[in-house]
Amino acid sequence: MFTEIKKHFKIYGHFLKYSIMEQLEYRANFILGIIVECTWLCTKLLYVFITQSTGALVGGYTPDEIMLYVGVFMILTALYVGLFSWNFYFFSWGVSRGELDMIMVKPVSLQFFMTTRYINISVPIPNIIGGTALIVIAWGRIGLEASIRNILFFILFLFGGMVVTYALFLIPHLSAFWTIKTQGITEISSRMWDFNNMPMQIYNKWWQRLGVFFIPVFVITNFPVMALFNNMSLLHLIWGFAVPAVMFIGIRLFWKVAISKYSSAGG
Amino acid sequence: MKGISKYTTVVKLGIQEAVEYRIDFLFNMINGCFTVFIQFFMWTAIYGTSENDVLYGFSYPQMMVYIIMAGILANVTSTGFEYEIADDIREGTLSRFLVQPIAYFPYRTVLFLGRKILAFVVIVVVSAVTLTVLHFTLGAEFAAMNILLTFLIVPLSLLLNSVIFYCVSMAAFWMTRAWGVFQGMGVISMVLSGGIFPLDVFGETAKSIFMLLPFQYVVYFPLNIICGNMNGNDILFGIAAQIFWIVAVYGLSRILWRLGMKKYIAAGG
Repeated sequence: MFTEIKKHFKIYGHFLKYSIMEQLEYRANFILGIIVECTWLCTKLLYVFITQSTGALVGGYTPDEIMLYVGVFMILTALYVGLFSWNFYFFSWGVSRGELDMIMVKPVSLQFFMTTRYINISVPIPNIIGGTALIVIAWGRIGLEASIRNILFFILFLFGGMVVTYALFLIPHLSAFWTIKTQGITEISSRMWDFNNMPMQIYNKWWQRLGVFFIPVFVITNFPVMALFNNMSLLHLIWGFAVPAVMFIGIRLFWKVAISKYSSAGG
Repeated sequence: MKGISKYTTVVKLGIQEAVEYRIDFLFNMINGCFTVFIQFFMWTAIYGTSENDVLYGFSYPQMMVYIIMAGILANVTSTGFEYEIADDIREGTLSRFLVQPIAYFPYRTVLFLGRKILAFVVIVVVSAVTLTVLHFTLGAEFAAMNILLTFLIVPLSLLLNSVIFYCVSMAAFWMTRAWGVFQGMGVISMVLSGGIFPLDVFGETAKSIFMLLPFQYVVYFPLNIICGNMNGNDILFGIAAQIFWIVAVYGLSRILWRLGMKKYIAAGG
């Protein structure tokens, strides 16, 4: 078990090395990727700008708390786009072209290989810089004195949010094993990511329940921030720890079912 | 007459494509709904706790009309053909247009408008339903003449956005992979056209700069007519400005086309 984990960490190190080498080889594309992401970043900052200029409470959050929330959203966007989203798109494209054959015979987990091998470096850079800046500024303005327990929960829920992101956004791409064209479904699912742009408290109770317990998209950004502000109910606290495990086991089982449909000729 | 008939054939081709890829259109509409959905709840929360009934010159019903109609209009005016033009240039398939008795710009524009006819009909129906619902639920008020004027202006908005992105697609003459330029320009155009928020949110200084650019005539201008923020003179001036920008951006794209053709080697950028 330990040897396997060590082996996969080592392989991940190689993935990172080759991803950096590959992207730096096409420097113009690398820089263009950063510029395009900066334009997206500006649209996210617009939400902060609006709340700051109106001074209104949004879902019970003050403008400075919204700033912190958007900062966390940017960091999670960086992790999602940097670590997963490229792999998911290449994965469904590879399935439709029957390109899994050579990878299946490698002595490494197919799911691990197919869903983690590309690491995007350019897109996360503006998000990490912008997100960190927002968090630092907002933290100072709020004068937040979070306890060690709250910060620990924040980090744990941030990690849990990543696990939920991995599982939740991989599901639509697995439909590639049944239908060759998955673009429509995957586009819709990636738009779901934007639901993290604003706190879930802006939606009514039914939408919140749907987004927390059925399609746990609200868990991703809301829970770390709620932990930091120490305003989580006991149910949310328990669910926050349970849902990453449930989703990870769920996606592993679903992967096994999906892979059994692979016919190496597309669909 | 023969000259017109070849373009009517291209329009029919565009309509056929739109019918064939109707699911794609449906998915695009659903995607647009997500953005509107988030904004709907966000603005409801902001207006609910703000001390002012009017924010950035918009009352709550007006803002709802704006964000919902902006989602619809931004969707229907979106292009996407810039990637096809870049492929034509990169792969050398542009050459066949150079020897055929059909000019490339009219071909692309007419094909684009043909593709959008179906979408236009759908958005007229969707918009009519949306405005009726907003009238009865939020008490949003509209003048019938303003709604009619807006739908007469939307084809000009479509044409303007198509010449803007035709102009942007000329970048493919100089760049092998121009996707970054297209994506970046897509986001910039979306924001500056008022496709996400009304331009008023940026403040007076930024807005006065954005008003000098052509983008606002794609979404912001037609929607301000529906919201009742414009008088007759403003509307006439806006239509004249739309036509001016269509001619000016087309002129720029002709210059870029001529410069680009000197670079074109029919074997990829």
